[in-house]
Amino acid sequence: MDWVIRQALHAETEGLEPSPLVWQRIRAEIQKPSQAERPIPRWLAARRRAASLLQGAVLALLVLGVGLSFSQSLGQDVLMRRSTVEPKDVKTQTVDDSSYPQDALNVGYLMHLERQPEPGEWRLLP
Amino acid sequence: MPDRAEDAALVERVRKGDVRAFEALYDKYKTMVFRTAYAIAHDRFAAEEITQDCFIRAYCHMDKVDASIPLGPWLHRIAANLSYNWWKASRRQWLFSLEKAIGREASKLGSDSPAVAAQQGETRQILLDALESLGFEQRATIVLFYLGGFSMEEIAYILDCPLGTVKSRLHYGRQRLRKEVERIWRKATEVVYEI
Repeated sequence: MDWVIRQALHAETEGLEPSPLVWQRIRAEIQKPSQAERPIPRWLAARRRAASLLQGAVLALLVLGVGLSFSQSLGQDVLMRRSTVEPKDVKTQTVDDSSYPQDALNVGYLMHLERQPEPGEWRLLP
Repeated sequence: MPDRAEDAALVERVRKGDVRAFEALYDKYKTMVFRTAYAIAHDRFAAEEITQDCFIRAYCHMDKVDASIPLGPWLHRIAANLSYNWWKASRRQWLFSLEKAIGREASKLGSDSPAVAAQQGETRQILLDALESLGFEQRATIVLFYLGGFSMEEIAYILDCPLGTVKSRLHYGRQRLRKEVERIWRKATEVVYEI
């Protein structure tokens, strides 16, 4: 079996060679200077820096403009709302001690007691 | 080890940027790498792609080469990884494989009898078809052992697996090949008897 497998594989690949194009492609690939290795001319570097600065400035101006316009519109909106709101009558609510529900804690009563209430004592309030 | 010394000298020159030295390395190992890739992939175009990518990667990682070990297993390790990537990708193209398989079966039907087929080297074809039915790991192990002539230790390094795994893959791979060949032969004989 070993002999058969070896013979079959050798016979299958006998005389096979990669085409000359393979080496040409390899050479083209390995001789291609990578982006990192390629030196950048000084004028190009300066231009890139100026371009990035300009981009930053434009972006900052845009943000500033949008922010200002937003804050202005917001301020106007608030003023307009305030002017349109009608003053409401303020009602004062007075609470009568006698209207407390039975299960509410009557602080006044507790203070009047001047001692610790017994459990459930506060429930007995009129 | 004059061969290893020669490789080490070439690697040293490649590290200094000598393309001629790399070409010498390519000339020395291209056939071996290409034939191994072809035996695994069973596709000439794929084998060329694998060979090309293998040498490009080797050039890019030449600084990682250990000059004390032979260059062949290292190159085959790259080729095996690339072959595995190709194999994974080609599995998705199942329709293409199906067409290929149908074509092969049709050509088999054309041959008259096992005796004639044997004369035409049909046994070889049956074995290669059986080899193709194996999984990548077993197929690569068998190709590296029988075609590449690598030792089991070298195959363990190439396929990045323990030595015991290589031994078992080889054993079970061989067993499966034998069964496949027997099955195909039995099938062919039955067809002849039916006729």
